[in-house]
Amino acid sequence: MSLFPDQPAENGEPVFKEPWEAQAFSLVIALHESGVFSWDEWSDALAQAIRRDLHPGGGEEVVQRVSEAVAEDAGEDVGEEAGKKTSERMAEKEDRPDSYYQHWLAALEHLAIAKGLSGAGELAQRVQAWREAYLATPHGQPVELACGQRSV
Amino acid sequence: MSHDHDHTDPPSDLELRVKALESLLLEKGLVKQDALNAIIETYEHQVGPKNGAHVVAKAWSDLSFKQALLADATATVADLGYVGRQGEHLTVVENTSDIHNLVVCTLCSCYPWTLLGLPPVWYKSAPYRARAVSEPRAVLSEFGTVLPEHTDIRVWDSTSEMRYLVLPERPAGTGGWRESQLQALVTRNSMIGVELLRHREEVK
Amino acid sequence: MNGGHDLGGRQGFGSVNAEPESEEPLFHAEWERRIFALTLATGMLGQWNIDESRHARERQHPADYLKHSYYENWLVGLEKLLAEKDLVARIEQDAQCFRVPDAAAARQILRTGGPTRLPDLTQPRFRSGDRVRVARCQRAGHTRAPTYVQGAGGTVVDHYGTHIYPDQNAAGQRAGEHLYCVRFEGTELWGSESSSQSVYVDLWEPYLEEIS
Repeated sequence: MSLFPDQPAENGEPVFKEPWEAQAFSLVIALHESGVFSWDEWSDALAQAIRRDLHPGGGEEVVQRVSEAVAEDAGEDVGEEAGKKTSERMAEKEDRPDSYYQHWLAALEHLAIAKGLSGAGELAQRVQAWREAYLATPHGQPVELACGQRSV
Repeated sequence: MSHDHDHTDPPSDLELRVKALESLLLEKGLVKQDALNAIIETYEHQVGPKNGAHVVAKAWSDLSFKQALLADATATVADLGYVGRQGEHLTVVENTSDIHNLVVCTLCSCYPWTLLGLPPVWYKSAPYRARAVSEPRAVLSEFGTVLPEHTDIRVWDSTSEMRYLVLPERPAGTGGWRESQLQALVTRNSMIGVELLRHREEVK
Repeated sequence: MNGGHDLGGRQGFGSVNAEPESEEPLFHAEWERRIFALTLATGMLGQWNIDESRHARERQHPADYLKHSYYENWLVGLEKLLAEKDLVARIEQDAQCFRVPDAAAARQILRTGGPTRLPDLTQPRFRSGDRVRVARCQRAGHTRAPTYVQGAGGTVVDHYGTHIYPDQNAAGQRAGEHLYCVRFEGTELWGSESSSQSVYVDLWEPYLEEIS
């Protein structure tokens, strides 16, 4: 079953309506894999994003339920039945497929700020800049970062 | 087949990550090149096992120094100028004919830098960190060190900022040797406790 | 946390395979030399302490921690700390916000080190000779109570005074606790067939319970 409840999917595969949805999805996976945040932290961030974006006036109870649902589904031993219940609970409140990745993006932006990720992103870009510098430098010559590449 | 000379093969991802880190930190002014050089120079040329060997040879040669060393190693080696990072608090444990000491850090790689420099790869490796506490005799035998059945083997796990140095037994047949001759006998591994020192005629 | 770093007594790693002392280089590659110096130099900015630094290396999937070489774990730790502490963005906003050491300052900092001894504000609960047991404790944060001694009984052999308590220090809270050296018999830790005779472990007072 999916780690992410209510993710728009066909035959178990994620479905993206726009390229940015796929990018947001893969970015979250990549950042988790590199240890930037845990799934618990992600589920908290997602729950808060839903509260901020869809229930600006409050909705603590919904947040609590969404948070529990995501946490449950992130566990390994949650059965099909529990997943279905989660979906049904959420569907009562929201048109999930339309807003699903907007919530991801909002949660991602908040986590990125909380985790001070600008530095990490800069590092990743710089790794690529060094790789390109090697590829652009004739064999035997010293490899240096060009000025333009440096100011990432 | 002609070789493609208009590019350089990028090094491993690991090397690129370190290059990225260093160039970013230097450019943003978070580290200074001369400070990096000073740090490397300190551990490549100034701090190393010769410091520990000096302390050991002095302890063998000077009984009152040895007593002071075993009572308060931190202050005693500070008097010789051995102070600094990863040597802020020191305990020296003495090997005798009945007792053999062995030092490990199971949780990371704590090590008395001021006296031994940076730890060797094996000291930081999983097999050593895992097994030194549970099967010290097997570990010692892998270093060629086989101790009598009756020897009391004491393993020191460096879990705090207290650093441990082994004072090895002075090899037999070295009576009358000068401190500098003795110093040349002392190996790094003997001060971690994985090997015994032998009288080596060629050192004299 | 008892992650991949908590190695005491683990099995299956094979033999030690040490390089001969006379043949082993200090660094095995240039990138090791660089990450070593970068880790020490950035540590000198005073934005994190040694326990935060250790915890940053420990906070990895155990398989990653064990797969990585020693300096690779240092790289992972430093990348993490830079991002979490947001150092690059902070110095961009205010170039004067860090005191960045030059060569002379770096040498001085290396000589000074980071002593962890603090004044004794409380009486130590234990004395040499006391029998103690290491409390079982499984928390998510940093600790220096290795899993292999948790639950085991031992004897206090030394009291080192009050030292900075790593469990809180790793969370950025500097506090002191009494530090003891505790001797454990090999048979207590590893069973009656063990060939290990005794293991000495430095443990802070909150880790220890009295055995009456």
